[in-house]
Parts: sequence; C-alpha cells; structure tokens
Amino acid sequence: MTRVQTVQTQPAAVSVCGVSLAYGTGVQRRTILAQMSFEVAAGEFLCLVGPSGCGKTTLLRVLAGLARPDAGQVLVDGVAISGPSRDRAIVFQDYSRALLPWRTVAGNVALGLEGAHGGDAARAIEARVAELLQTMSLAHVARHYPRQLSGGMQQRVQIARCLAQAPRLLLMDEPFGALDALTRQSLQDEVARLARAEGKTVVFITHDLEEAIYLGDRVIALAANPGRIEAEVAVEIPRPRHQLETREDARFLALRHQLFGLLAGH
Amino acid sequence: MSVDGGGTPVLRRVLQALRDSAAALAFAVCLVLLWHAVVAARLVSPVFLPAPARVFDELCVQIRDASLLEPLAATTWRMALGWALASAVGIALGGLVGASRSARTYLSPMLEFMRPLPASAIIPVAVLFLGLSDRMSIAVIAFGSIWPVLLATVQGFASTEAQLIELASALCMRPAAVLRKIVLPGAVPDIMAGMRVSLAIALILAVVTEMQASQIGLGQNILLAQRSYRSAELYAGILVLGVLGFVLNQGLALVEARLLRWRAAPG
Repeated sequence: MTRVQTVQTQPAAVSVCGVSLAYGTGVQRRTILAQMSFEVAAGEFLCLVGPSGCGKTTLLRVLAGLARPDAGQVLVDGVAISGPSRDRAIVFQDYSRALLPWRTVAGNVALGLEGAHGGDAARAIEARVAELLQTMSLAHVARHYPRQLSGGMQQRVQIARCLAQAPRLLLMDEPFGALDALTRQSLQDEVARLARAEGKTVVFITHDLEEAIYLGDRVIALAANPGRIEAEVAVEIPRPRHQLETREDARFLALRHQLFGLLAGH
Repeated sequence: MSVDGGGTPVLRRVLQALRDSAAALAFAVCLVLLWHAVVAARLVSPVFLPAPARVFDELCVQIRDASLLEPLAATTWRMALGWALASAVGIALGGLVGASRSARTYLSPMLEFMRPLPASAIIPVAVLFLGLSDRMSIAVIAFGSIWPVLLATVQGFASTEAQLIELASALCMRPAAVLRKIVLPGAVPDIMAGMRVSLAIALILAVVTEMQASQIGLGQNILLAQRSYRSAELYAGILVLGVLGFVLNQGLALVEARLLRWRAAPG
C-alpha cells in the first residue's frame, strides 16, 4: 500500500544570508530588500512584522523560492535553495484567489498531495485528505465549493492544503489580515497548536504587532525603504498562550511598548 | 455558510421555473393565434402565408412518413461535425495564443485578418477545392464558427489568476498539470460561452451551404419549397430549424450548468 503521510518530518532550519533584491531599472530602480540576514531555528515560530512597503511579502516569496534575490542566498538545512520545493508551503494572504474555485474543499486540499505520489495513490490521498479536513474542522464542508464558505473557512482550506504538502517550513503571508477579530483569534490559536503538534518551522508575516508577539517565539521588526531589519526580540512567554491572559502579561505589554516605538519611527 | 438542499427553496425554484415556462408558452400561443387571425382575415395570400394548422398538418405528414428524418439528420450531422471541428481547433489554437506570448505575436495579426471575413465568401473557394460535398460544407461551417470559441479561449487562457500560477509553481506542478488543473478549468466559463455562439453560427452556415450546394438538408427543403410555392412545407422547414436550434442550445446549456456547477452552488 502506498503511504502518503510522511512518517515524521523534521522541521527545517533556515539561514537568510545577505539577501538583496531590487525591482525596476535606471532611475525607476527601487531596492526592496537590502542586505537582509537572519536565522530561523528548526521548529521555531518566527514572526516578521513591519509597515507596508518593507518588503515582507517579497521576503516570503524569496524564502518560498518564488523570487530570486539579486545578491545573497537562502539556506535550508545548510543547502542553498534554487527554486520552489514541496518542502516549503506558502499560505497566501488573499485566500479568495489562492483556492481553485471549481474544486470542492476536499479537492483543494487534495491539490497539496497530488503529483507527489505514484499513480494508484488515489485512495491514500483520500484518506489523508479526510484526516486533514478533520484536523482543520472542515469535514462538514468537504463537498462545498470555496465561494460557499466564509473567509475564515477558506483560509482554513488553504492551511489544510499546505499541511497536505507535509512541508518542513510553513510560510504564512498575513494570513489573517482580512478576517474579523474573533475568527482571527481562533485561527491564531489553531496555527500555534498545529505548528507545535506537527513540528513545523514557521515564518509568519503580519502588520499586526500584537499578533506577532502573541504567536512568535521571536519577532523581527522590519523597516521600510529599503526593507531591512530594525529590531529583533525573543518572546519568552510560555506556551500554550491564551488570548486574554497572554495579552495582559507584563512581558507581552513590555514587548509591545518596545516594538511599537521602533515601528512608529521613534 | 451554505444552504443544504432543503425542500422549500427547491420547491420554490421549481414553481418559479414552471411559472416562467407557462408565461413563455402563453406568449407563443398568442403569436400562433395572431398568425391564424391574419390568415383567416385574408390579410396575406395563403400562397405566401399558410394557416398554422396547415403547417402543423404538413409537419405531421412529414413525421409520419419519415420524410423529415433524412434532411433533419443530414443538417444536424453536418452542423455537429463542423461545430465539433471548430471547437477542437478553436480551443487548441486559442489556448496556444492565450498561453504563449510568442504564439500571440506570430498568429494574432493573421487571425485578426481572417476573423471578419464572411464565411459565405469562403464558400466559392471551398467548392473549388472540395467540390459540392459534405466535406465542403463541414469546412465552411468550421471556418465560420471557429471565431467565437477561439477568441473566448484566448480570453480564458490569458486571464488565468496570477496567484494560482504562483501557487502552481510553489507546488512544483509540471506544465502539463498546470494546464490541466488550473488554466483549462479556469477558462471553461469563457470557452462554453464561445461554444454557444459558435453553435448558432454553425446552424446558420449548415443551412446556407445546403442552399448553395444543393445538398440534402433542411435548408435545401426550404429553398425547394419556396421555389415551387409549397408554402406549408416552407414554414414547416423553418419551424423545424427553430426547434433544432432551440433544443441544441438548451442541451448545451445543460452541459454548461453541469460543468460550471461550482459557480451556481448556493452561497
């Protein structure tokens, strides 16, 4: 029998080494990322926070292998990446344009498994899809189409599809930016729990400072024009975190003050 | 969230559909009555316009002695072949032009030149090369009806959601898989719309080529009936053509609804 589920994926360690990237030519040339370097430890939940125009999304696309830096490189477990890999899954910000509207929820999740297996893996895919739908509380809408679902549910589908890839690195681009506060909070807790349970390294982009502190083991604050690292703080608040208590924790508030000052431009 | 197909909304939809059909039927009946009144009042000579009852009788005779079958089958067959050919070539060529920049550079100007050519102008050329044959008819039908489906396919392929292409590369999908799983299904709404317009053109050209090339078919029946002043036959032929077009379009609409059920799913 074909086994779809990878037995136990080890989370990836990432090094970003002097990555620079510019768009345009001549006077129009604009530096998006300037000499950016940082590390992500295996199994770490790293949040990148910054104002619009700081190159957050571009940086994530570089990590995914969807954009090539002009200088510098990205190492995953010490090996330089040269393009996209199924090892690295990306959750796009705009869920409404990142799902196949003509496929059901189950079909969209299956997309993350297709192509990775031999011909007669259909049954194994089906079983794995059912499992993922259960994990993401989507089983009851398995046969629905994306446009029949709320934004939060659509984003769950996208996360389930990424988990289906069995990635070692999960890249998330402002995944909850468009959701209402309650939905956002429940998905934050779910992603934090999944990342720990499934042993993923996560790079999570947000413009919401509180979200970054709440989710991250570490937060890197970016500055804009050109995109560069402004500050880096460790979040030493134990897990599991709690939407109310964590946000009232003295350490949380202290970090919030510290980073708010930096991001507001002093 | 979704409505699971509960009884009430479905019932309401069915009732609405019945009401709509009844309204359409009532209008058709009114038109036939008007037609009857015009003939009964001798406003038009029966040589030009027979009573609806006579046309209906003629139709019944043709159905009973099966003389309708051969021309109906011939016209439908030619139209279907020409349309299928136009769809196949149109989708393939349109896909190429829509997906590839260099194909667009080479092919677009020539396609723009050929598109406005009236298909009836091609008939003499087609007759020269293919004679007064079924192959000639099919070639003309295909040439004339290819444009809507071709242009719609170009549009459908070119408007693939950029985010989905990015997703495909993140998933390391091979080009063939990107085409099959993302580009083609995304273009289906456009392609179906093009194929429906092409179908109407194919029926027109089927009739025109029959008239020009004296081939067995509904078009030739109409022409012969007109030339020999058999007006009931003439109108019966037109009626059959109308019904044929209507049935084919409804059939295609059903296929379309099936293929695009993800669009119609209750929100």
